[in-house]
Amino acid sequence: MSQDYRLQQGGQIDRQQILNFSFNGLALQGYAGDSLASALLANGIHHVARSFKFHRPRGIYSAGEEEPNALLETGEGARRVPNNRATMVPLQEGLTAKSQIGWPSLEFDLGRSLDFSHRLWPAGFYNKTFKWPSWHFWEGMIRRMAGLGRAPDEADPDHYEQTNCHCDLLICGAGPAGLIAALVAGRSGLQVIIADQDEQFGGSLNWDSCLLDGSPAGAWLATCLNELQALPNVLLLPRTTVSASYDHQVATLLQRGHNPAWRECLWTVRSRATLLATGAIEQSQVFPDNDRPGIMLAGAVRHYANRYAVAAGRRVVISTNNDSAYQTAFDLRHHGIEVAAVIDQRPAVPAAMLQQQHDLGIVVYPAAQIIATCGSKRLRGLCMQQAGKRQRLQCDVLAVSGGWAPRLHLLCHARGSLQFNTQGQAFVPGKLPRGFAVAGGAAGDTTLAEVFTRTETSTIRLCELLGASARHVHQPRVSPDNLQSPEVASIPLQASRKRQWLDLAHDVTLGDAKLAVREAYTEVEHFKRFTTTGMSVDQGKTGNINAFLALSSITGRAIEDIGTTTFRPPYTPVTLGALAAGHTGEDYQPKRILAAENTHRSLAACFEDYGGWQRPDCYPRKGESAEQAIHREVLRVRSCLGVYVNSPIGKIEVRGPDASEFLHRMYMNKVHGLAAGHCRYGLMLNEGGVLIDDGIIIRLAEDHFLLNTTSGGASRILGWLEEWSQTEWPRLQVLIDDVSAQWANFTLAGPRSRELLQQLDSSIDFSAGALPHMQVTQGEIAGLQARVNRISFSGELSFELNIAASCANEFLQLLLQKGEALGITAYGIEALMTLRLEKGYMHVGSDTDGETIPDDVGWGQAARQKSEDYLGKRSLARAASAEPHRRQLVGLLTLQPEMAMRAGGHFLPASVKRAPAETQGWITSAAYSPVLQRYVALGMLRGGRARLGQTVQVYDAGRIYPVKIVPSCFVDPINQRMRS
Amino acid sequence: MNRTAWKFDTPLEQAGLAHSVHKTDGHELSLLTSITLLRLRSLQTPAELQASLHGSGLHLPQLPNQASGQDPSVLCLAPNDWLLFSESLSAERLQQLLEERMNPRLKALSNQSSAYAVFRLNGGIAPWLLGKNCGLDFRKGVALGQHCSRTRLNHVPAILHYHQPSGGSKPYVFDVMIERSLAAYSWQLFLRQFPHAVESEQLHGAFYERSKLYP
Repeated sequence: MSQDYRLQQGGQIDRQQILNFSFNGLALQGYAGDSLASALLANGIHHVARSFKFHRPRGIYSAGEEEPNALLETGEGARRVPNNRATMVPLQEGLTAKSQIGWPSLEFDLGRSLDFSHRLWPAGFYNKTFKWPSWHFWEGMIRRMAGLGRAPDEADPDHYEQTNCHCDLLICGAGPAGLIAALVAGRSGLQVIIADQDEQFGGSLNWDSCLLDGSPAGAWLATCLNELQALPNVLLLPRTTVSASYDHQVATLLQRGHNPAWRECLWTVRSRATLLATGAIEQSQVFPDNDRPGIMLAGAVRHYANRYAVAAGRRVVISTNNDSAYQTAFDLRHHGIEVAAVIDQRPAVPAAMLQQQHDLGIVVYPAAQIIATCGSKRLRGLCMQQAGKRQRLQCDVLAVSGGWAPRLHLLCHARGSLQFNTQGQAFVPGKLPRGFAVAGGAAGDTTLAEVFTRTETSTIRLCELLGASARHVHQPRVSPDNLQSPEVASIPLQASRKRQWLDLAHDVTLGDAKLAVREAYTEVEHFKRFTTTGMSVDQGKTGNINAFLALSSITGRAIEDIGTTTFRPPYTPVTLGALAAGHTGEDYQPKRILAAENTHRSLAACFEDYGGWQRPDCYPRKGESAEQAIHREVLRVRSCLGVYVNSPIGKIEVRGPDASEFLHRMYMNKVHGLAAGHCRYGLMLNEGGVLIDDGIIIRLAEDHFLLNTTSGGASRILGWLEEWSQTEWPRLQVLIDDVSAQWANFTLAGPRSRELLQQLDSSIDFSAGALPHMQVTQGEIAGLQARVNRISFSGELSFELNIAASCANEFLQLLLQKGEALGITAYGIEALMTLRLEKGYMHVGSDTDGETIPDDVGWGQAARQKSEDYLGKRSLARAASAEPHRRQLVGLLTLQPEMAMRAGGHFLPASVKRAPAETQGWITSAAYSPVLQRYVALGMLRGGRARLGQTVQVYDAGRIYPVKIVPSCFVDPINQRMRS
Repeated sequence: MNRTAWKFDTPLEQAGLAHSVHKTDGHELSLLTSITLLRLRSLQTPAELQASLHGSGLHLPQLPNQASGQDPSVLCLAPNDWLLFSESLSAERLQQLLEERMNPRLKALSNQSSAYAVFRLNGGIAPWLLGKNCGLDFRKGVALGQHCSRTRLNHVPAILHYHQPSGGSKPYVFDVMIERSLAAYSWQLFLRQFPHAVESEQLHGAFYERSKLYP
């Protein structure tokens, strides 16, 4: 197909560079500089889509991001992008575009049957109709029919970027107002970012036929851009949509890539002030059958002709209620396009306009209105009525103008208010948020001269507020003098049996508005939700004003009283890829690695993520399964020697004259009596008496403590200590310091662990007499400064060695090398968990939850014995804390040793034969004990300690089996091994 | 085995990463391999502290985000909370300097030299690379000459230290201090982000020159 509708001259396209593209499989051509929409129109294609609800044929309606109809799929495979506005897609060689609604094809769509039966589907029909048997029964079918495009099935192959930036002034929009503002602010030395969604800066200057300083606007535009590009303090961002504006002058900008290395970049810009120079959007007109392909906004028709050298049609009729559309008539005639008539709905058309049109030979019908249109997939004509007389007009394009609504979505995002301007029949800025200014069309300016003058004034004021001195810039003289009046006539709605569309994006009709009012949805936010007008990605760009005017007319209330709905971010859709940029794949979340990572890898460790740490689960040897490795590691620790790397464990130092008093209050256990060089197991509670952490309190000196916290809780507990120190007990002289990352921690566990340590060159006496259980010491091991804690989480003779993290790799290799003759093995988290389970040690987080108090885990007596106050003590005195049926930690054994148990199984009373039933608790930890050669478990069971020796049923994923309630310690209950 | 036999692995070596310098178009990211970091907290009043450190050559800035000194440099992270950083002094020497002057009961001094990796970022790329990961305004720090901030770089806790080495002509030198366990992750992240940051600097480099509003 040749470009039959391409004008012979004009436009900002490169006619030398022909671009091939396809639409619905049809091979087409356009030029560099075209948008997809302009290229389609140049090839005479208007019908590009079906409507969202009724599958009515729809054509290209606008020339910008306000496009409600031409939402197309572009690209193929993994690069398929749904819901792309054809008006915003730059034409590229090889571009493929498809319509996204219509089956089996766009031309013949069976979904159109919904249109023929439209009376069955009024607004809100799905809320009322699809209740039986349930909404979900219908949901899938409705979503399939109604959906807006298809996301690609494949992973997105493209790369996205994100960046943050600060500036003094963010200018949203690079039309005439934005450019003048950038010149003023840029020359004043402010750091300015100016962003525009278009490929080219200039906004309406790119398609306006006016002269600036006697030359085409392009000349002034080029001079202006040259100066801005030369200013180092001005950052120009074309192809960049300011998609949202948030509190404290934070805005997000979506930049579309010009570099194949990245597709889009999401900017987060923090500015000291924001200037909205976003222009205005032409509004549609409401009349019967106002949605046919070929009916377009008047400004868009002019835009296509002037910028892209595309005639939207051969014979154009213009319908308007304001002066602006006359410029379209003038420009079309200038390009040699036939303008059949101007239908002006206003009773009194300005004489100057009439004269101008008369001079051009264009017929103007004042006080007329369109009462019907005809044509299915392309407009063929219309019927108008003037003074009771009907007349048919042949045309293939109807250019409509319902006035201009300032683009104030970003202002609303930032909680600015809007007020209705009766003269312009649109909402204009009301109260502005701090640091915001609005200029140009967005402020309600209608002529170019007005835009230049007022923008300069407001920018100078803004610069002064920002502490910069700004000077006047040369304002170009605009010619011809614009005769345009800002007045937009309010046109009464027609009574017609035909549908009149208020919102093309959501197929909302005047009838829907009337229905909403009949059903008492008269408040504007209710009205919006009932009718769906102005919702979703469109956000009411071309339809909102008409919808509110309709509501006003139907209810008889002034539109000022009705108000407006809330525009929500983003202004135009933002891809998930841009939002997720920098947080996918390897960068999805930070990964912490152990200081001895290399050695773990050399031992073929199986790594798992534990709270962000990549930690070895186990170390399988050749031919060994993970389970076999875990069993081997457990047996080796019990019988011989193992080394476990516990570097992530929290290590918090507390110092100061009041350190002991502070910790005495923070821990449930007594701290005052702890001698230097000794350590004690401690439970930390919150104000509710609930267990939040456990660990070891180590007293290094009189006023110097080291706390070992759970690995995952280190930063949380540090914050908790700081909070209480700083806010509740600021008089206590305490200094808290996190040294977790400084020290690598290696646990030697097993009967031969002392033997290994004694082989190392060390200043420390590791004998039982010199370093008994629960004592600590410091000294040198193999020339390294070390802190050694004689504590055990495995129930075996155990030493925790802390050395500088930078030596971790080599130190671990040393332990493995020296321990080889003793039969040492590295063991992972799974083996450790089995060892502690055999010993009956709870693991906070696994065996406890947000309700567990000390008595539930067997520490009630210790809690009661501490007479001094401590955090959570008061809550433990509540009746609920002493309730005998609380869940308590117990040990569990299956009746048959070979039978398996899993964590998560729920306890049911013996009388219950099947689930569901009220739970009495659950298994919190379970593992196979290679020592006992059976499964052992811990569980929280209601009144558990009083039920020792009884059996209880466990329900686990459909299986019910009995288990015996036993004391929680399965191995070495008298602690002989770890005290040895 | 004695102490001299130990090999102190860098945080990147521990993760099996061989390279510790990355250069593109005059921009450089490198890991500092020999560093001393001490964390100092004190219960003494600012006046007492200044008096006790008189003659030591150390100046403790009093306001958070302030930094002072070249080597060692002192970063004020929070009220009465400092990080001392040196490339030439050993931890023992720096500790001794403080120990002999400060009230031992009213201070907490911990050696954190193994706890952190310090990346040095040179060149105009710095604000663009760091700006890809956090929302701080780097203009102010540049204007002040020396500055520090605690932030998160792509969710990784980090301390940023902006400074201008004596005689250095490069407009930006940032030391980025990251916990050792997260160093390899952050290093690889920075390398992946480098090309876009370089492109941003090439396109908009002048934008981050000294602003008139921060004289």
